[in-house]
Amino acid sequence: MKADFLELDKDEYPGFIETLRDKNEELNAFNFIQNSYGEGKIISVKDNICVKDMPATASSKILEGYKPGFDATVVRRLKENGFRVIGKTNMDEFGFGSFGLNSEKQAKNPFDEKYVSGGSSSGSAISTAIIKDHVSIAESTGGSISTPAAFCGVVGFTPTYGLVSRYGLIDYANSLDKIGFMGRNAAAIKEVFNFSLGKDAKDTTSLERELIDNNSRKLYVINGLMKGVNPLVVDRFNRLLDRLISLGYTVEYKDLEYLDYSVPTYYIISMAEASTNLAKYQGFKYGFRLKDFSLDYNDFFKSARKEFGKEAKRRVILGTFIRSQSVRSKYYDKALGIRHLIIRQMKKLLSDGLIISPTMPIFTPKIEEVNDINPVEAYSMDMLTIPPNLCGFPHVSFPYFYEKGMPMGAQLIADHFNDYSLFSVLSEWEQNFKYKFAGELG
Amino acid sequence: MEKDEFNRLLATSRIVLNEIESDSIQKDTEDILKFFDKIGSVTVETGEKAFHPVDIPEKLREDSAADRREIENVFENGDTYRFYFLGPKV
Repeated sequence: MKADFLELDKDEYPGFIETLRDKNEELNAFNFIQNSYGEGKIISVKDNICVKDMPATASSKILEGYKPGFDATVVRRLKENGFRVIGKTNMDEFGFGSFGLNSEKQAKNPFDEKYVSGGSSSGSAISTAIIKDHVSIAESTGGSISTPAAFCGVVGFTPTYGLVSRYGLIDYANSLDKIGFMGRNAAAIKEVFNFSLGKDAKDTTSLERELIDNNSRKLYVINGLMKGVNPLVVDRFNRLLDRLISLGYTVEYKDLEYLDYSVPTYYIISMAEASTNLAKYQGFKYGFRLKDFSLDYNDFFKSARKEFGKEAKRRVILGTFIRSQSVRSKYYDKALGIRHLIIRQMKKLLSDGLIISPTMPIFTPKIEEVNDINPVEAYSMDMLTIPPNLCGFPHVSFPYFYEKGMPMGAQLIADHFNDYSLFSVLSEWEQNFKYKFAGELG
Repeated sequence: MEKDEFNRLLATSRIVLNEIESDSIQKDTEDILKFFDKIGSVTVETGEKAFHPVDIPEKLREDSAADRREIENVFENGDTYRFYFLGPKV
């Protein structure tokens, strides 16, 4: 199937940008929109991925004013293949959040502004939902592509860890970060993904491997994962399974012993890594400049870090604690061991099938419903998106049901480097189910 | 976690909080650590650790300064004096 991408001529562009700006006032999808015209197939890029001469803030005040003088490898490769970046999309600060609310401008759901858009790639999901034939370059650490894709009714694909170079990514947690894509169908995402692949000398963790489609028609549902899912969401998900069975898929229910521990394991590893990554924001090198050079180094550093939002501070504090010598083996080392066990268990299952689940355990919540939930409750909402992210498995979230007009997403997980299997299942699904989008700008 | 211990942690983290923020984040920290303690019930017998989710062959960069733009980027985004960028006293 051929992919379509939005291209505008010089006369159409100003009108399009004006409409996009108006829409952005309502939804807070973009941190930056490019006014000047340029030829090419239009894409947007999450604000933690560097685009030459465009601001890159990761939605953090501490990076305000930072403008990289280079393109991230993924952006460079797409530009070389005829794509053009129209803007930088809103996100939870540094990727710390699941609802798109940890940002100065809280992102809103394009189907209904009272509801969350999901995060952390909130703006990438919204822009894909409202712009015709759009693809947005996003990034996932623990579910930052799947979650907003599900809440905003678009397709969100996270590749196998290492397949897309992370050079130019403002990193959150190095052993978990993956650059991925949001789009309106499998064909568009696959095309952009293929242009983005390949080894990169600037990212020593990037990999070049032959990708597989194992043509499996076996789907596994993990009992433990379904335990915490809202019963009504389970009911809608079961209807999806019935439809897939009618298309010739088989469904098997399985238990996986260690998956219950994936959420704390993920947050331990990600906070430990985040606390070291955020140490480079000292108030004189990137973005925000403190300028009071009379302070000694510690006071200067502490003053600059007041610019972090509450969730960023919380994660730096916890990450620093977890890495301290007295508890390192209790938390960090143990978490790395559990990740090894979970990978081994999941790989065994994925050798002859795919894992399927709802993307989120709840219906799309209203903004007012999640503004005040405590951190442990918020982290627990990631229970379905964390396992594939923790283990670097490729996964995709796709729309499968509309509940009172709001989209719901399901998530498919494949084995490492079986990324193309996901596109095959998705293409077949798209022939049997018509997605509804929140807009057709362009 | 006692207040003193939390304050020492703040100092190590180089994070300054006002009193209200401090109380709230201290409570969150305790709750989150309790949540993390759940992994204590898992026995990891093999001793194997997954530093990366997939095997990453050990690769080292060429020992040469190939991309001089990186230095210019630092100068573009920081305050500079002649050939130096300005920072706090160490």
